[in-house]
Amino acid sequence: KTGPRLDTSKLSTVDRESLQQLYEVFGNGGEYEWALEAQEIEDEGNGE
Amino acid sequence: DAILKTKKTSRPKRKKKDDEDVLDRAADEEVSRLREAMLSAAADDEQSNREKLPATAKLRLLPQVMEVLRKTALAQSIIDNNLLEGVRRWLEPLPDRSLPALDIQKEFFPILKKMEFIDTNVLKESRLGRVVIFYTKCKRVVPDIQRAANDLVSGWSRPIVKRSASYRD
Repeated sequence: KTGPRLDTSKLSTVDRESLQQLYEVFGNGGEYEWALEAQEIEDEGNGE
Repeated sequence: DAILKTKKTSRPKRKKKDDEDVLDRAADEEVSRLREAMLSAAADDEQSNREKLPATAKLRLLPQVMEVLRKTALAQSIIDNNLLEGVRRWLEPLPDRSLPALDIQKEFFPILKKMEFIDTNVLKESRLGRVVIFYTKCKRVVPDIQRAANDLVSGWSRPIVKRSASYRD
């Protein structure tokens, strides 16, 4: 799974650097996605 | 005479510095040993989880870990020896996708909030931010812990976002 891609072309250099820092600190959210899948399976089981 | 005087006055300082060095080294050794023990306990629990056995290695070590994490004097050693990598490993979901024991979560999140020395570099090195983001997203996390995880994410991202904002002002 890949998240939505951001258009960073209109960002200033500082904004782009900050965004890069945020990625480096928090990742792109995909690191533990495998563990989130469990709840999706549960949710489907509950008819959600 | 002048040389002798200088030597005399510098001696107590050197002694103090030597003492501090010995203390720093002892602290570094203590924290480094604990980091290794934490990583090893995390690996043991992962193995037990894969074999569908109770995973108790981390819980057994938890009191010792908390004792070190609570010592504010060890902050520099905690940074230098990347002890927060151990914290990150302990907070990671287990192979069967279950979360670590609630006792671990309940001990770690409040103490992380108190650690004001956690900056962008510490987060990059330990990769702690990535697992905390997971706690903000996982529906199986209890509300108190999820709130604490959200607070940590806002606190840690504030200086990064602020840099952008202050540049525009």
